[in-house]
Amino acid sequence: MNEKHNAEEFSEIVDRMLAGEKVELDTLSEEQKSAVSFAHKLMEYRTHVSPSFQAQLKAKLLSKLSQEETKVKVTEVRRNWFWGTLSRLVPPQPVWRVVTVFLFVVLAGSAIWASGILTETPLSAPAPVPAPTPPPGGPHPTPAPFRPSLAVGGTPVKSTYLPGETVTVEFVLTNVSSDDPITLKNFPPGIVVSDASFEKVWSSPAGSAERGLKPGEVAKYSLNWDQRDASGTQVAPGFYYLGPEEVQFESKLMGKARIGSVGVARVLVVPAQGVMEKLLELDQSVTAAGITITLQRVESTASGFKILAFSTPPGYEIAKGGGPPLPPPAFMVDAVAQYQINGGPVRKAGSSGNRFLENGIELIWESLGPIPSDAKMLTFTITKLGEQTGPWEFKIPLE
Amino acid sequence: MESRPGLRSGEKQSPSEVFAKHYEDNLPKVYRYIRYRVGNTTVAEDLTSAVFEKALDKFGSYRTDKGALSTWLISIARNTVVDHYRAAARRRTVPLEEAIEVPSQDASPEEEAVRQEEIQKLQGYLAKLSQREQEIISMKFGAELHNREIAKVTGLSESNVGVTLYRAILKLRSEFGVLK
Repeated sequence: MNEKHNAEEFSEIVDRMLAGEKVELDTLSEEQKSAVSFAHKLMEYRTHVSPSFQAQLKAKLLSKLSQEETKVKVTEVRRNWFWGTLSRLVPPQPVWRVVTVFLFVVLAGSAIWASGILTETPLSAPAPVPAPTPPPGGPHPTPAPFRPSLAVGGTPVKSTYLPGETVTVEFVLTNVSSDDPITLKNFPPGIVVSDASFEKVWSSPAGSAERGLKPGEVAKYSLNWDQRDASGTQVAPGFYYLGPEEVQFESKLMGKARIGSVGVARVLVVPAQGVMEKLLELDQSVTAAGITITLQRVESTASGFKILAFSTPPGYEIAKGGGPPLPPPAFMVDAVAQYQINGGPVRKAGSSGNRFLENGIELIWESLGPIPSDAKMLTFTITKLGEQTGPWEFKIPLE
Repeated sequence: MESRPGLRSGEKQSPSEVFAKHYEDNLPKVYRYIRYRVGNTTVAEDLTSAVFEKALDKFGSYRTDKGALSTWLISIARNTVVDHYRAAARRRTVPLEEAIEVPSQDASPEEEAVRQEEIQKLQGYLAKLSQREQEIISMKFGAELHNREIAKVTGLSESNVGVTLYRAILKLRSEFGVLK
């Protein structure tokens, strides 16, 4: 009860602080004061929307809105044209209007009579429905989606590398607009290499040159990476992502803008001794925090390995018509895992992809780093399932 | 009795003017909510953009008697973030605690370094909270929603929201003991 009261008071004070009011803390308990001072800290650390993003998004949305308004106006103009034409055809004097309406009714009645609609016809099989014909003038035009004037692409010279081989990626910056010249501000942009968990491994500094890009024009540059991390150590086998962290540019349409594409190119560093290619069907179950998870399959291929697990958390019930289970908190069932090969360094497997089935949740981790051909033991540990903390540890012999 | 916002009726402004007003009022709230949830500026900007595009498409179906526009937008933002995490889980990208990106402010290099360190710590502790706690903190401090509005979006009771928020703040406060 006391906690509920404290919580209510605290929420009121936070609301007032957020509204810019100054609040007196004298009447509060020490616990409440402590909470309020931390709330104040949280408010200090709030981030602000960058003006360039705000302006770009506004321009994009207004452009979309304007396209919709234009469509509505075209419809209104057509409708107004029909009624305007009709009113011009009918004389303004009341007498002539009555005569016109009478003639119209007679003509319409004659047409209906001549068509035979009103004559009684014997029952017969319904006529076949004609196939729908496309509207005149071809397909209905859809408004072009807004897109930034600059596109970033990256292609590795090859997708798989042995340890120590130099990785080369060619990056391409393209002005994809039809009439919006661009000035690149930090050419060539700095490139970030991230591991499969998107942790930064290495980065190259950005250049300081300005470079113009006319509509349709491309700027290319290559990056060589020696597979070493920031401390100069050879990276472990696995997938690596390369891409510019931030390309700054300026154009008339976009103003000052920036684009980041940290995962634009992906390469795989394979173990020197080769990669294990094996499918292991398993049925290992581990229970922790009252939840049992069963590891069902390990698929190891040249391009990495995949884990399939299954769990039916207590109270699991799937929503009618599919979707995540009810009730909350499982609006997002985030299963997080890590793994070790031969007891080596712990590597993150990240969050699982989930399939919500009638009897439980299928948890899938894909594109995990390749398993060396001579590996003997894989330890796969699920550390978290939704709000429950494990660990659920599985030891999988690979021989 | 159904009522709709000024874009379709009522207000004597052009749709662009009405939309611009709603946009200016709500963009910071939506952005900050998403920024709390995803912890990364670029992703937050992408998702914010997606939220407003969806809102523009669905604006005709929004009814003021069903709640404030900000609550409606945060509901869209909430679903967008959930979709993002589901897709990210399938692609295995950027877990929350690894996606810390610290904004630079006008401060001396020393102050900035301390600030960055504190923000990183804070992001780490936030990521350790339960999804529900993270979400309520994001809605309170990011979207500046009142407990009643948070209750509406999350389906919890108002008092449950208040107690969860209070406990989460105390939990963070005790973890973040260095902040005196």
